[in-house]
Amino acid sequence: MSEDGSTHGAAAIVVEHLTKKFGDFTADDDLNFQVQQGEIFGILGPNGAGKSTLIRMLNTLLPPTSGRALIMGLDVAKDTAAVRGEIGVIPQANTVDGDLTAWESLDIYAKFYGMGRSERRERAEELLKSVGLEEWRDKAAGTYSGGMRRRLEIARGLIHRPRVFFLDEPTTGLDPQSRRVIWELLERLRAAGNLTILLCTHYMDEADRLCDRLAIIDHGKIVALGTPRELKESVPGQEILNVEFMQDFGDELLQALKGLPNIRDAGREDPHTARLILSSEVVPLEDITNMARQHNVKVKSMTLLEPTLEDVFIHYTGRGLRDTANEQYSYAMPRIMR
Amino acid sequence: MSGGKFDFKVSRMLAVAERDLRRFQRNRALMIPMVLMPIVYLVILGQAMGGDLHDLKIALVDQDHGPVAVDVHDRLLTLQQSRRLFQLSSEPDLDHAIAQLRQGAYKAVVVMPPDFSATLTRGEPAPLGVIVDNTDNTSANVIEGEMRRAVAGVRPSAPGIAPVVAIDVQRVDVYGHKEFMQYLVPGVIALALFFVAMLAGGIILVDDRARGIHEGYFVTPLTAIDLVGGLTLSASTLAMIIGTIVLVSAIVIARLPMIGGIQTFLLAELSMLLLGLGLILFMFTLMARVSNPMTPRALFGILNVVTFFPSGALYPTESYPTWLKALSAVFPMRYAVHALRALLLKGVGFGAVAPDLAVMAGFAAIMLVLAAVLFKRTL
Repeated sequence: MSEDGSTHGAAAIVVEHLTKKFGDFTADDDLNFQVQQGEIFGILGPNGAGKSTLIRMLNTLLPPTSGRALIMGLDVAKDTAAVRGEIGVIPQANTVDGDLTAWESLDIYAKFYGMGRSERRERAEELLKSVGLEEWRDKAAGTYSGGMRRRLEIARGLIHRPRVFFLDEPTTGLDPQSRRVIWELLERLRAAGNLTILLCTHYMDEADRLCDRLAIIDHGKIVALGTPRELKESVPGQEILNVEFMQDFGDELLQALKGLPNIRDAGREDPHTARLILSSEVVPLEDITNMARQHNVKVKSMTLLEPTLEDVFIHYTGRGLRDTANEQYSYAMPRIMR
Repeated sequence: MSGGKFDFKVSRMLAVAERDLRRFQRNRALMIPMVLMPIVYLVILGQAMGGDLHDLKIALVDQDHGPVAVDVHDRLLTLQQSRRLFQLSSEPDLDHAIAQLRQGAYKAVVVMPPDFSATLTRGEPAPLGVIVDNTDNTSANVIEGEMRRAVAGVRPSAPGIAPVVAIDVQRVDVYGHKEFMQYLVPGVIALALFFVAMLAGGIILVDDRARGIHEGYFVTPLTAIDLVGGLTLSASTLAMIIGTIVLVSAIVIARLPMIGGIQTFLLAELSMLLLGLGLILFMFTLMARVSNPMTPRALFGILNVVTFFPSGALYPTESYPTWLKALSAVFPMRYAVHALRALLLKGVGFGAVAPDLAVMAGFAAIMLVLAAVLFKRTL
C-alpha cells in the first residue's frame, strides 16, 4: 500500500504531480492520486475547484502544464489516441443530439470507434436495455426527459466497452428520482464488469452512496482523500446535534450555545434550528434547555446526527459547498472567451 | 388587477431591457460588424453596382475603309482615350471577331460594312452593326448607347451633300434575346451556396462547439481531419441539394435555354460543387477558433456583401475600381458566376470554363489546408 491507500501496478488511473495553469491562474495544482481497476472514485469539490479541468486533462482534451497522468498505463499527453480508445466520457454539458434517436446516436458513436455493423447493433441493444431506453430507441432524444438524456449519454459513453469511465457531474440538474435511477445504473455497471469509474460531483449524498474512495478538491488542490467513512471519521468532533426550537431564535442564543462545554461550534441550520458540533460524546442536554429558557425559546426536539460529507467538506475547506457556488461564473467566463 | 394580458410595469420592462443591454455590453466586439456592415454596404455596393463602366473590350471590323469609316474610327479612339470606356481592337475578319466575342474576349463587335461610306455619301442612311454579348446586358446597353452618340454627328464630307445623314446602329444579340432574370440566375445560385456555407459551415459549427458536441467528439478517436472532412462532406451535400433545387427551379422559372443539354447541367453541378466546397471551407477557416455563437450571425451580413456583390452577379466587374477588382478576384464567387453564366446562358463546353473551375478548386484546396491547420483538436 502506498501513502494514498492504493497499490501500484494494477491502477487504472495514475495521477502524478499533475498541474494545469491558464495564464496566472492555477486550475489544478500538483495533484497526486491513483484509482484502482473496478473502483468508483469520486472527485468532490465546489464549482471552480478544478474538477472539470482535471477530467479534461485525463480525457486528453487539455494538455497538462506539468506532471503526468496515466490511463491503463497510457500517458494522456503522449498516447492520446490509445487513451481515447480506453475511456468513455460523460461531459458536464448535455451533449445529446436532440434531433437523433437513441439508436442513431449510439450507432454513430460506435462508428467513431470503428466498430463493425453486427457488433454495433449487438452492443447498442445491450446498452439500451441496461439504461432502460429500449422502448424509446426510435424516438428523437429531443423528446426525452433530462434523466433519459443522461442515461442515453451513459450508454453512448460505454458503446465501445471502455475500461475507464468518466462522469462529470452526472446528476446535476436532475430530479431526485432520476438521480436515483442514474446511481442504480452506475452501481449495476460497476457490479457487471471491471469498469473503473471516476466521478466528479458536488453532491455529498452522491459521493457518499457511490464512491469507494474520494478526493476532496478545493482551489485546485486535494485537501482530503480516503473512503467516505475514513473521511467522516477524520473530522474531529464527530457528532452533530440539531436543536429545533419552537420559535425563531436570536444570535445571542447561538453565541451562548457556543460557550457551553463540549460544544465546539454552533451554526444556524434554519431560523428555528441550531446545528451544534460536539467535541465530546457527552451531550450537555441540561445546559442547552436552560440556555434556551433564558432566551425565552422552547426546545422542540434534538437530533443527534452522524457527520456527513458536507461536514467533512466544511472541515477541510472552511466553507460549505453551496456558499461557493457563485465562483462558477468567474471561472466559466474565461473558457468562453478563449 | 395584476397578471392581466395588458398589465405592465415600467420597472419590469426596464429590467428586461437591462438584461439585453448588459449582454450587448459584455459582447462589445460584436457591435463592430453591426457598425461596419452599413459602411461596407455603402463602399462595396456603391462601387459594385452602378459605377461607370470602363475598359470594355470592343472589336472594330472595318470592311469599308472609306472616309466616313475613318471618321467613325477616330471618334471611337477619342472616346477611348478621353473616358477609358472602350479598349478598341481592330479585327480584319468579322467571323473571327464574333468567335472571339463568344469566347468572352470581346464585349461587342462593331462592324462597318463594305459600302458604309459610299451609302452615306449618296445621302442614304447606312447601318453600323453592333454585335453585343447580351449575356451581359448592362455592358451591351452601354455600348449600344455610346455607339449611337459616337456616330450622331458624323457627316460625309463630300461637297453638295445634305448634312444630315443617319447612321443606323443595328444591335445584334449574339445569344438571342435574354431576360434580365436569366442574367441573374448564376448570382442566385451562388447566393444559395453562400447561405448553405454560412449555415452549415458557420452557424451550426459554432453552435455545436458551444453546446459541447465537439468536446464529445474530441474524447473519441476522431482526428482533426476526420472532423473537418466529415463536416465538409455533410455541408457540401446540403449545398449540392440546395444548389440543384435552385438550378432546376431557375431552369423552369427563368426559362433557361440549356443549350448544352446534359453536359451543361453536369458542368453547372461541378461549378456548384467547387464553389460550395470553397465557401464552406472558407467559413470553417474563419470560424476555426470561434466559440461565441453570436459571432457567425454578426458576420453574416458583411461576409455576404464582401463575397457576393463584387462577384459580377449583378453588375459587370468592368465597372469596379482596382481595389474592388482585387477583392473580387480573391473569392471564388466571381469565377462561379462567370462559369455558370457561360454554361447556362451561352452553352459553352468544358474548355471555356476550365480556368474558372481551376481557380475555384485551388481556392477550396487552400482553405482545406487552412481549416485543417487552424481547427483545434483540443479545447
